[in-house]
Amino acid sequence: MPDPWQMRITHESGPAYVTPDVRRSDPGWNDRPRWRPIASLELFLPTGHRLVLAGFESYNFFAEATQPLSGGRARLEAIWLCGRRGSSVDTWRVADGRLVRDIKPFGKEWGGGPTRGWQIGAPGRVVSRVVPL
Amino acid sequence: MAQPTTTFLYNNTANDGANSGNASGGAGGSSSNWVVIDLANDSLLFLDDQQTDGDSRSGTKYPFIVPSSGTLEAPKTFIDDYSAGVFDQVPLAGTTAGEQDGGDTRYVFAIYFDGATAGIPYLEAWNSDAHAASDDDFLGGGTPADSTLIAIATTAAAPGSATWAGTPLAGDSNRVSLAAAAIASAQNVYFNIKQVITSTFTPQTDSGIVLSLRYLYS
Repeated sequence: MPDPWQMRITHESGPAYVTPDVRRSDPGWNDRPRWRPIASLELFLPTGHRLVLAGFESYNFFAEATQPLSGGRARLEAIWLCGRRGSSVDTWRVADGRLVRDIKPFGKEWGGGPTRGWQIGAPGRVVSRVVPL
Repeated sequence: MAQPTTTFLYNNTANDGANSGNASGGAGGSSSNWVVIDLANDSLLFLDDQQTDGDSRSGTKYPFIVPSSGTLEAPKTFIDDYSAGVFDQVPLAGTTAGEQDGGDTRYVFAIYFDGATAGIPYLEAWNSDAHAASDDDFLGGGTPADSTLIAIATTAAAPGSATWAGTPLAGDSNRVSLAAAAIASAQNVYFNIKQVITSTFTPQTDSGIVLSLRYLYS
């Protein structure tokens, strides 16, 4: 089983890919074989739960960081998982010990604008929830 | 699209030219000169016109005065350059309402990204680097439109007006998009900023506001 803060990407076929700790500066989202449609994303949480997204047409993952002009190093603010279905996007924001789910129009899923890095999914029965390990 | 390294820079000349030196700064386009901001030690200052470029940072600092009526744009803008020990002027900052060379100019402040982002990068202002609240009196005291810090993105073009209005900065509701879309590869984004005070403004004495860049990576 992956460690907390790792993400397991299960493909429609072929072996699953497990990212490094997604809080790292290179979370690994772009290192998986992109030609394989994604069946599900599972982010393993330190609370003994996992956040599961499955059945979407496409998926995105990104980290949100801030860099103060006066204040030294950049800081990780949140981890985001997204699943697109038609013109809407299921977004999950993981930050400050909380998970916040929201539905946004595609193209306005973060900060009112579009995001890059979408990867193709294997559409099916949609799952978007937090479950015990 | 791993986390990009970002470098903040400013143009310390009155020459409106791009930062061709990227993360290193130095001589830029049109005889501009770009200086890297030390994020751990330097700070941005809006000061009175008595302050002179190159004044020692250990000498007198001249804050600008709340006007008796109407509004006042900070006459001069500086970077408190810790390593050089001086207040280094940013002559193109602000508009023609200030007392510098700013106006419809494009290349004033830059942030260089050494790689792609996953979303639009934003310039924001907060009470502190905790990025939890933005109701400091300098940020409008809970009314973002009244923020004294006003910025404009110039990544794509100059403002189009020497007295550009800009966007008052306060939290993530009032912020500036530094690019029209996610950054696809290494590049500079540019902005200009001014501070405008009204005659009714009462400064908050314990203010510790910060400007921050917010961006995505994957």
